[in-house]
Amino acid sequence: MDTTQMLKGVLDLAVLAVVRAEDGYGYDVVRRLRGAGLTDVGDASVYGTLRRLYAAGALTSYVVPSDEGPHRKYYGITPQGRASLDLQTKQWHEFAHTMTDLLDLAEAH
Amino acid sequence: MSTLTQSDAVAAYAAAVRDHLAALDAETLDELTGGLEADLTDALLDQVAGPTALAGLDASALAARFGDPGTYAEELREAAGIELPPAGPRPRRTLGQVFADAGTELATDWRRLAAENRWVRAVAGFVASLRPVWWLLRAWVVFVILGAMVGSGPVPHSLGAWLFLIALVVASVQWGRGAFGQGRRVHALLLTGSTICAIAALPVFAASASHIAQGGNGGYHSGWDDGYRSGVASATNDGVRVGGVEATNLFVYGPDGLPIADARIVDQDGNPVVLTEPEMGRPWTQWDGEWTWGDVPLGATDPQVPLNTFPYSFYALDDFEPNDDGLLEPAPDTLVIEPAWPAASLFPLESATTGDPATDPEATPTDGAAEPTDPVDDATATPEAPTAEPSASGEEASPSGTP
Repeated sequence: MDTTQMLKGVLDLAVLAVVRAEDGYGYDVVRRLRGAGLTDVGDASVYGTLRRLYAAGALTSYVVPSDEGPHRKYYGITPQGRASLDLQTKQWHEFAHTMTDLLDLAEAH
Repeated sequence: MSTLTQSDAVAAYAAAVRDHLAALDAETLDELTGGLEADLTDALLDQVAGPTALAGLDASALAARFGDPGTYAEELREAAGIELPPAGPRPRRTLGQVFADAGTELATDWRRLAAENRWVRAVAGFVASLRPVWWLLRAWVVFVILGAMVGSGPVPHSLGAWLFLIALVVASVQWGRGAFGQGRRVHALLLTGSTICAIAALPVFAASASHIAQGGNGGYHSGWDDGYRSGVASATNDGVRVGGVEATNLFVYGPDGLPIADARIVDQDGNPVVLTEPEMGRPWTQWDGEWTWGDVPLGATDPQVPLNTFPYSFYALDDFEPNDDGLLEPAPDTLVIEPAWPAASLFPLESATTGDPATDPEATPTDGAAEPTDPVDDATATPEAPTAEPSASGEEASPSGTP
């Protein structure tokens, strides 16, 4: 199954969760998402999501100078982002539970 | 294919991505692709041995890793939720859209500011909790503005005014609570009104505060009227000045150039014109017998004689005697000094000489001459003073014109 479509709906949630665990720069977030098992996640999708969450006030950002190569833009979660993450986590659990029940029921027949 | 250096390959790819997003405005583009080179480099470093190997990568290697720059750009843009502006010339925006966009931009900036500053959030939270106060204030501002139109003050003084204010408060609070006015047009209208209230609040406050400080309890306009009247009263105190000198008497001549005795003079508002006594500069109506100098008009001692009736007749001050309170009173047998007419007559007006009886019956020569007299002759004619005898000092105007 193509997980790209499914990922689209929950990418915000995934990115918020990763950034909440620890502040990170663009590719760092990509790497951690992939490391967590979301191997299909696209670089550009993650970067775009980071920008959107930042514009919406869920993330804050700061630039950290780097000795080697360009400066890195780090993202951190804001209280608003944390509240949003809490809410979406709850919704996700309910949704996942419902889906699991539904699929288990179908399998039982 | 030429081999690009590390920064060149990455820079070229990033430039290609930016190229695909060129339709965006500079700020959005910068927001979206800022740090792209760093992200690309980091991603590549995961695949190759190290910075030296990175230098060996060319454009095709980057395309293999990240895909077509156009696709990458699209993915970036879509994930960021940014719409590409339509191709071609920018569509004309209505004023409403311009304001709406500015509002959205402002809101975004504000959210960012709030997200980044703890104290901004604290202040914003505090201000937000004051919203109900604003609802009340808004109702009162509307009350004052509407009240000023009908001449009532910032504080309601009648049952009707109280009920009206309460109705405004209920309406304002209900709207603030979202109970009504949520339709787009109505909302915009109410928002405009609310904004006007916010702008007007300060001047309304200032005006009301000064009104209340003055102890005005009869409303805004009555306070203004009081001030106006006191201004008029003090203007009346100035009496009548002619060429910068206080007039001590006034003489009225009719259109026929003849004196009119006992003429009553008022100003444009019907206020009596009263001359002033020379010592203190007060109107004669306020003179109680304090020491003054010169002559005293009859009206100053006799309430039966209006002081705006001209010319004044006088008592000489020498004939006054202090009473038990030390105030001056005319002696019982004091003689009246009749006014001295400055001229027995003036030139008649044109309308008087042409003798239009329909508009001016007095224009007919008083001596009953059949033909209109020459104005020059008329000027020297002795007036037949209608009600008062010209004083003896009128001898300068000798009755040479009498047939």
